[in-house]
Amino acid sequence: MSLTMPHEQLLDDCQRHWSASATKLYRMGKTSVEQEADGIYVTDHTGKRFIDCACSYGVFIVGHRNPSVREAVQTQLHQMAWVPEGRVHPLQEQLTERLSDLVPGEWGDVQYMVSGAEAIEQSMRYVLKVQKHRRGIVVMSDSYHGKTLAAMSILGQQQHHRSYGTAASEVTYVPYGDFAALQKAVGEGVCAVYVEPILGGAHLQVPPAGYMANIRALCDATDTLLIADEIQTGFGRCGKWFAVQYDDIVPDIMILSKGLTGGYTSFACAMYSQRLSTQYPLLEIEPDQRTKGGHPVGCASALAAIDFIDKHNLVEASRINGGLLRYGLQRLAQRFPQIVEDVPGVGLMTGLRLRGSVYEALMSMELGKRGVHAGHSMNEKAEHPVLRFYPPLNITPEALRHVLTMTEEALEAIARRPKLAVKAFSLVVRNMYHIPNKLLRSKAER
Amino acid sequence: MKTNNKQIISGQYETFTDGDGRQIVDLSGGFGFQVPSVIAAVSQQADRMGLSNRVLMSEPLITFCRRLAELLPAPLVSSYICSSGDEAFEGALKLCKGLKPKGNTIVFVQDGDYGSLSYGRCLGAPQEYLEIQRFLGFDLVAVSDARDLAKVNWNDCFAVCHTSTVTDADGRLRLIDQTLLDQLYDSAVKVSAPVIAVDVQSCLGSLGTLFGFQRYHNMPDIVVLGGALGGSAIPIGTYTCSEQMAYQVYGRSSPAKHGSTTAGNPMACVAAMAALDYVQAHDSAKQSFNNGQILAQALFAFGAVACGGWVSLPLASDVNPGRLCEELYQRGVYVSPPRGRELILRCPVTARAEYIQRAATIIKETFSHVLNHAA
Repeated sequence: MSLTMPHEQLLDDCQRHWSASATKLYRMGKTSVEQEADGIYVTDHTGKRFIDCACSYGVFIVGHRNPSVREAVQTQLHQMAWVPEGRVHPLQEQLTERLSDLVPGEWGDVQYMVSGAEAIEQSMRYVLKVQKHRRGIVVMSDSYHGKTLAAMSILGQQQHHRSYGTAASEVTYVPYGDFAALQKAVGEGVCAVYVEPILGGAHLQVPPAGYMANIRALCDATDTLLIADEIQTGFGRCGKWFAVQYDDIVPDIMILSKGLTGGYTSFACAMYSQRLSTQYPLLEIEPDQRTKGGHPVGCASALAAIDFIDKHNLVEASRINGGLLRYGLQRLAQRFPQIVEDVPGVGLMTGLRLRGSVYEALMSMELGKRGVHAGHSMNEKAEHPVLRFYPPLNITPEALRHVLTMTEEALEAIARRPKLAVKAFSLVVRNMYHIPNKLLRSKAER
Repeated sequence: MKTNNKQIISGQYETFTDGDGRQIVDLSGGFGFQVPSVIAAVSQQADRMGLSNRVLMSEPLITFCRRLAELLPAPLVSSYICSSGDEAFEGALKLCKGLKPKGNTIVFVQDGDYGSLSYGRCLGAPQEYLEIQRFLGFDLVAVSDARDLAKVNWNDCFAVCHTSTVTDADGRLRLIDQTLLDQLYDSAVKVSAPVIAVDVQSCLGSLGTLFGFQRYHNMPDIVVLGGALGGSAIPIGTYTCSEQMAYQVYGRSSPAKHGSTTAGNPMACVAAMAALDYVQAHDSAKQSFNNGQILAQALFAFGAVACGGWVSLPLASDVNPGRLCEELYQRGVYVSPPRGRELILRCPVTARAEYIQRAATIIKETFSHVLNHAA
């Protein structure tokens, strides 16, 4: 394991050429450099291995560098990695067929993109066109549908709107899980309702039973389109292939990404129901279908990942191992109530809801020391952030037990800290991005 | 379910083989297919890791950003890496909104290609995207000559955008009038509105310079790259600004404010660095220029005009563009369907001269045949 340049030089380059704020985080956390990844492990430049329960918020459904996916990716890379605009590779058609069979419901047009946010944007343009006689989109507070400038207009994490002036007057926010509020917002009907069937992000929340079924019925009754954002939940993460299956409903449009990447390329798609595709074919609604999505390597990766999930029963594994992980975390939550509020989630989509961002920062540090990565909310102002545990679905029960042991040790270490020290550190965490980089430089860097 | 029989099976540089086994010279632009050094670099990275879990530092990401700083003129040193050039353009607009959140107006040079995301589409074809523009609630002012600048409410302007080429109402490809660009930059600087040069389609030598904006003497505040940058292996896009501008919006807040799960992943960064290595080692800008000259000279009699490696070719009024493209395809040349009455031939930046010569001959024969047939 080695770096091509000194670590300090890399930090300086990071500050100047990529992200000054990320550099602050790296300097404070003494963050190392990723070198390679394999299965559930990420290895840094010092040779230290971490069990990856962060997984970039759920991307690595089949683990890192999954052999089947890697082989498909490399084979396709060497055969044909790209097609010019207006042409398709046979793998794209195969993937469309596979997805249409896999996702519950009858599906028509499928549009590929390179990120979930792009797919969300595409669906927004579509619903606003086909429902042009209507006004308004209803979204859930604290929901996350991507952070491209247009996608931000329906971002439920409303604190970001002030920074960019992206609050759209036609968007109504309702509390997640509150069907009565949703009913009121939809009224006689709006263009569309966007919903994560399980609220992801730092506000992880499983809705009450029947919530999605009620939304489906409401949308049907008011001719409102229902868009299910399954970017985080799809492909087994939630303990079923797709979270809409918990209520056995079919949305009008389904957005998929993370699990679709196979851990290799940025990839996403928007799937349109057969009914919509017949009534409003995508090609007519948006004749200019330019996109960098659907490239052969991405399709090869997605197909191999789906096959792997299917062949190795990873959806079932997610359900069973998710139970094991959540039970263990709940036990810890009961033991450390001063740090942990609760353990939300389902399947291998879970985490610790912590009593403030200071505990999230401390947990990340303590877990890191013990060779475990968890998904940090990256929100230093959050009052109840969920430190997410989204491991690969092929993680073994032994590895999960090790994660739980390390989590217990981390909680014990934090519990031992004097209250005053935690309070002082809280001030640092809440203001960490205001600290100048030059003050954070280590002696070696100066 | 929709199917498409326009399938592509294999390729090399400017040539691909379709589902019927035909060898086709691609004149739709981009980097070119299956360039060995790019494919090898990406494949090697796939052996180590694909996407990142984004907890640790990423050396390919940081090295790539430094590489961009070395290539772009000062003070453009801070880059944000996105999943595509289209996404990068919206990222650049987001940066501008971060600088001026209450600003609501985008000023842009008309008839450019601003990409396929929502804002890009609104700029590229405003009348076709009225619903999303209304929903997003921003105003647009299209500029095609200096008089248009007077229409702008500059106090409300948060971004000024231009591409490197424009395609006018007749479909003719051309550079932007330098005087117009000078006036646009002057107006923008007076109100501190950042100027974004969208170089997604035209970077890496397409126009005879490494970056398309280098065809002009103006210095943009933000440069957006993409398209060929991914080496036709992995899509990638970037936007680059000064360190000061980046810090103003992103320097004192969580890195998540910029936010993207998979953008800037190691595979994409390695692909981009390998693509940059190739174009620098092979002087692809010069090669593109020469390729443009080959096409323009061979098709001079038909009114062809070159702009670097891109050539604008007018169509006679009685020629059906769709049928012409199909005819060209049957004879072995792929060209994107024209938007107006001009065919735009775009040599991929790695295109080999002998294949461009072959394509020129095919196009010339096809045009002669079409003209004779019409006569």
